Amino acid sequence: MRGSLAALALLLTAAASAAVPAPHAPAGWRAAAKPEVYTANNLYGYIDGGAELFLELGFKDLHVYRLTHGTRELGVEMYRMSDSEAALAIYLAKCAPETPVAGLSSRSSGDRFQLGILRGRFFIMINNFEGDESLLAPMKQVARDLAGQIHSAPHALPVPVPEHGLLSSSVRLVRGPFGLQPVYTLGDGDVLGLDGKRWAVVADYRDGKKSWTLIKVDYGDPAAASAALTYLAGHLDSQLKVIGRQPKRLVFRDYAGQFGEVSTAGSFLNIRVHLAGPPDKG
Amino acid sequence: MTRGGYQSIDVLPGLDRRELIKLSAAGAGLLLGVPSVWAAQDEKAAGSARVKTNIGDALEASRCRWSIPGPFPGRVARVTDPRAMKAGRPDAAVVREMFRAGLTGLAGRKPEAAFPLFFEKGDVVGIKVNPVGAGLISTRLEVVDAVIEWLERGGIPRKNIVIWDRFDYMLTDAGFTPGRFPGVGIEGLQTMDEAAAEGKRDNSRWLRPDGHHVSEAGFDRETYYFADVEGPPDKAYLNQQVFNGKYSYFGKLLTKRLTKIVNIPVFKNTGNGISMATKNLGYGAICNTGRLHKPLFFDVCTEVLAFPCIRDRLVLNITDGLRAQYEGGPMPVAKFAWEYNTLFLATDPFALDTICHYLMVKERKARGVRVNEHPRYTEYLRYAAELKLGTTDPKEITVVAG
Repeated sequence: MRGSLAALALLLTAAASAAVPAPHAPAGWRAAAKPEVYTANNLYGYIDGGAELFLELGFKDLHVYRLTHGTRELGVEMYRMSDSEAALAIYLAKCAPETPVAGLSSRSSGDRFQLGILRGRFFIMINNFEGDESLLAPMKQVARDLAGQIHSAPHALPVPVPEHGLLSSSVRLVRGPFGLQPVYTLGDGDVLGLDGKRWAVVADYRDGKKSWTLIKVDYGDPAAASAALTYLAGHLDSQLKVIGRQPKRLVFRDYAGQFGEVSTAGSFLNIRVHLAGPPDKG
Repeated sequence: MTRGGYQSIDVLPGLDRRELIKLSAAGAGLLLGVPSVWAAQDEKAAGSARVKTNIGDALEASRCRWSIPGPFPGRVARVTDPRAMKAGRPDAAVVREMFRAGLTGLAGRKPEAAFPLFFEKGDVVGIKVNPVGAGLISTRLEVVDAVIEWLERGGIPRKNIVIWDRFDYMLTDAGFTPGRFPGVGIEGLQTMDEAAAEGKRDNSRWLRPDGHHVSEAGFDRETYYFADVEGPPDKAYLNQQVFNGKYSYFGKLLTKRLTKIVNIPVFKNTGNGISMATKNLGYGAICNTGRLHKPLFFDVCTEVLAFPCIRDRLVLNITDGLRAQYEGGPMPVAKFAWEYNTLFLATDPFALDTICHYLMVKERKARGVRVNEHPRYTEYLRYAAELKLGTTDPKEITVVAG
């Protein structure tokens, strides 16, 4: 029985490994025979201090390939995420605001030092350690090669957000406290109850002279959204002073003198922060 | 290059005193005796006690004439020269000129005349660099050259100078080699086997047969930062951190050999905060730090610097902003790096970080990066002021143009 399980595990490992495309070396280049493979258990050994965000968003594994041409070297990192939304989330976290790379049809961002590519459930980073301008062409060639090996449909946001006034380069996806950290501090820990499973979409808006940041979560049903509001109200950060509370709405003022509003609408929790003045009465 | 003279914060490019004061005021009323944790990473229930540390031991030790904030509390010299970086590489002559101008601005006298304010005969000087992000965002070798030249002119022989960091292999990667710096000591407090960490090699290169890390002897078991928290008791952690348990020992280099420290961090962010002067030492002078990030994070940057082996030896801080990074730090991300062509000098590391934090936030906003300005990301600076380690009230900080 134990032998069968071990064989099955080997098969599964091999299958998983085979599902990750390998880059073909451009002419004159050599690719290492085997990739370095990292899982959730040892990712922090590769990404010093940054693994938590990958894990929170839905990291499966990482295959790292080295391509060499004499003394020149390219590193190719293939991050396989749990699904295409997780891939979009880490791509936006690492590459936005995007600087698309000319000559690549896949969604991409970068320069001669690093190319980031979004494809299916993969986030691909191609690193040029020396920043040598002449290596941009082989970097693009590797990017095109890998993109051709991965089926990819357009990546959609997991939670719809209003388009009016949206600053599109500001959109980010959050699945827990690490992702929320650069956005706003609403409370300690996973105060929105995202638990690495539920998505929040974050986006900045500008409408005339008004601007704000929206954090929108879909809890699946109105009761869960209402419960999330209640929990947040009870665990709000000590720097946020509540100035208004209704069954479906909470208004606060923050440490910088700006205002925030949390409200429910059906299954959604809408949080608006960085408001210059008090929000209109709901 | 802007030369000579003292200017208030208001008139220096990129600095606005009103904004800076607003930044500080955001945290007023918090603190000060109970520094907060970096709670965004903290899963503890709100209101639970802060992790206990032995900061009290540090505070009991008598101060000396060299103790931070040194002879110039609350003073920061800033030097910018657009000629500093040429085609992505530092111009050594310009960098040298910038360093000397900054020092003159800070001390109010020529570097040679200022020398006795920092050093005395027989000193063994450790230059703490930041080699992370080798080549892209690491401490520039040319800045270290300028410091070494100044030390030699002042009478410190090369054999009494040690370029150091926590990790030996990172120093090599960043170009701090005996060939590049002949006659100068180059030392990592510890080694770490990267290949073993990646699972490509067994543990024999870092783990002794008795189960202890080969770098244990590099740390002083008598001088430690205690925090009531532990990291995972596994070999991967031990490889990187040298010790498990609740004690972070200081490197023997600091406790037994160095008499002075010159700190040369890099201008870069770490999340919503900065990874500059105080973090370069707070997390670079001790082992077993992995356990500290989650419960204490920035407070470590204050408390570790309160221990005499740093507090009484750290005489000068130079934040290398020749190439800086505004997002993605502390790890290197090329697309977020830019040529800032600036050096900052201070004897007061907390005044320096206060100014640099403000400038970093300003830069991030200007570049469209979303910034969370919650006071928790600067509480450690105000905590340092409470411990009398530095000046962090913007009203009391003077920025001097070098």
